[in-house]
Amino acid sequence: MKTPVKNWDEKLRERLGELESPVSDDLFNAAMKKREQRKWMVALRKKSRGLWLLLLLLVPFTCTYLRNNTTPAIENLVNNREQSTTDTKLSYPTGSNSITSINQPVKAENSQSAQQLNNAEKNKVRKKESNKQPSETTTASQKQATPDISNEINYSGSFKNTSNNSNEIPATFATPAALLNMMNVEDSNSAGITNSKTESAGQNAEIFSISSLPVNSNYLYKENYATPLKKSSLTTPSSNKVIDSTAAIEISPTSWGLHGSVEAFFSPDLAFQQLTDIDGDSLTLTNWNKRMEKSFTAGLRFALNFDGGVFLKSGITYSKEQSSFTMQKAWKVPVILDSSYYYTIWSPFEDPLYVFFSDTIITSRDSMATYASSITYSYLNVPLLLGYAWELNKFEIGIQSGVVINAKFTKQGSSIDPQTLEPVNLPENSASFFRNRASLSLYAGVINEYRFNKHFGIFAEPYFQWQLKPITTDAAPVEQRLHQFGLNTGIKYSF
Amino acid sequence: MELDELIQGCITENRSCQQALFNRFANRMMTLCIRYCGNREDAQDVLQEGFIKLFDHIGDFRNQGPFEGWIRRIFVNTSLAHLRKSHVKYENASLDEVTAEPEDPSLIDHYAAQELLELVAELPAGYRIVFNLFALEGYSHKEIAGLLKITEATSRTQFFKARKALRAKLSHKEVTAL
Repeated sequence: MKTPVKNWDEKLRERLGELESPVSDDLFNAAMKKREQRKWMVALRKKSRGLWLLLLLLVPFTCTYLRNNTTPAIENLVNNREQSTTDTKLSYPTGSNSITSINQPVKAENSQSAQQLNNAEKNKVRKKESNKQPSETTTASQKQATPDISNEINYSGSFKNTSNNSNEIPATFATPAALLNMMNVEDSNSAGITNSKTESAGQNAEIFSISSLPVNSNYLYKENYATPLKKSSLTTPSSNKVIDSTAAIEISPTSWGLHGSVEAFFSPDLAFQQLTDIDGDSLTLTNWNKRMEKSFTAGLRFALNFDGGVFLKSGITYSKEQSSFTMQKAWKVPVILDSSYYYTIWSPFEDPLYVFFSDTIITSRDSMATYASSITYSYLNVPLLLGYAWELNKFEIGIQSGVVINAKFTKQGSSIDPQTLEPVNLPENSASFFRNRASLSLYAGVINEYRFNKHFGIFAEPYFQWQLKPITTDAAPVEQRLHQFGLNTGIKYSF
Repeated sequence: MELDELIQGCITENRSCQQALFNRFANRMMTLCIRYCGNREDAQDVLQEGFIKLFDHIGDFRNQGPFEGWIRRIFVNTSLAHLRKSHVKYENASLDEVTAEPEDPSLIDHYAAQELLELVAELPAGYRIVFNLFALEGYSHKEIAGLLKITEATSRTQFFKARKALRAKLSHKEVTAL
């Protein structure tokens, strides 16, 4: 006689399945709070992504704007310095530092009124000088003290270190008071500034000299050359403070050489997929057949060039990739055969003997099906590249590499639902097994450019892009990564 | 409230429905998490993480199987993801070393469920995970091998060793109780 009993595992499963471990309500509140925080962080990340994108797009425009608006000022500085050192033929004491300044009539809209104002000022200065002891020298503060100085009269000039001509530092100042402010002193007399007047090339020139100007240092530039002063920005003669309201910017001889380029391109791509069987849940891939599909990329990139051929590149690209594969899934359904028995052996001479036999036979049955997946992926990417280029006459050869950040990722087609293992249409049902965004990709390319002229050129750039993480989640039956080869061809405008 | 209503409420982010769903399943899932994690502290973390995932993806449930089965899978996967971080080592032993001995299922009847849970939780991590997956969740060794990135043979030996260790614990407990 045998009595079948429940399997050991089954019994354990039954007993533990009934067990409930009490959990406090606080855990629910903590979970919900954590979930809210995560949602908030995701939203913030999405918003900041847009901001970064905007900033990246703004960088080249800002650089171009800065370059266009500062170059004339720099050219003026150089011209002015050359003019002051050649036309006025000034001499400086050896081994000391001097400052020169040339008064010039301002380029007012009404040149006649500017001339009249200039004459009026000259008369006033002459009148002042005649009231004083006749002298060629007036202090900077006295010049500033002219009470009814017109806002259309401007002062400009340059100063330099004359002890070592190779270390000249170009700069201008609007008035002696601006110069004083640059040196952070209140009084021209205490700063050792002396002022003298001379006539040169039909211009009334003044020289402001100082013996304590630091050597080889950068100075603040306070006023655009020949820009009319605003009356509202003038201070009282006694204070000798800043007289112009324009923002101060630092001048450095090497920091203004901003160059870059804008390029528009198109690339026929060859996407290939890396499929990995992650053997999740009850699905096992035993065979698959994948196809490489034609894809394309188009985009706009901006480059910022540095000295020595190094450049930084960013922009926005749009890619479309087709991916398809068929796979055969084979999975085993576990079948547990119970073979546990009690045997009772009866004996006429002894007590009955109970013998227990137990054996668990685990077997399985096979199940198999074939599915096909065909999806078109669209990416909106932001590349961040660093490169180096060599110029060879009309050609330019270079290399560039970096990362490609995915901003938007969409998919369309049909795939396999990991839960039901049935084909489903995308994007309606993609939430559970595709990531919302594709991962970071590594990028490497070789630049080949031909230049028609200084500004325009065409280029061809073979490249390779490697996706670091799969586009699928852990829940997907097959892990998918899509890499691509391509040939970017396009036009480039350099500035 | 019916389960379907609760699920619909959770999809629409109704807080009271989420609370009700939590109350309905949290205790049972906590047992599951303790079985995998081996201690209550880690189990609480996993439970929290599991419910976050559950509420995030509840819209993906398509009523094509029991809801509890779907939830269990979420919590098993979350537990495994948590355990992966601690780099559990699975000893590889040949099957010859492990002999399947007959077991007396009635031994289990002598213990309260809570005691059994504690004994399972006390098993070394490698044994515990495989034992839970095979004996209690019904995964095959092939599936376990795929999930844990180990060989089928390793899964088998881990399971038999786990069962042996558990039986030894049960026997020891019985002897000391006498």
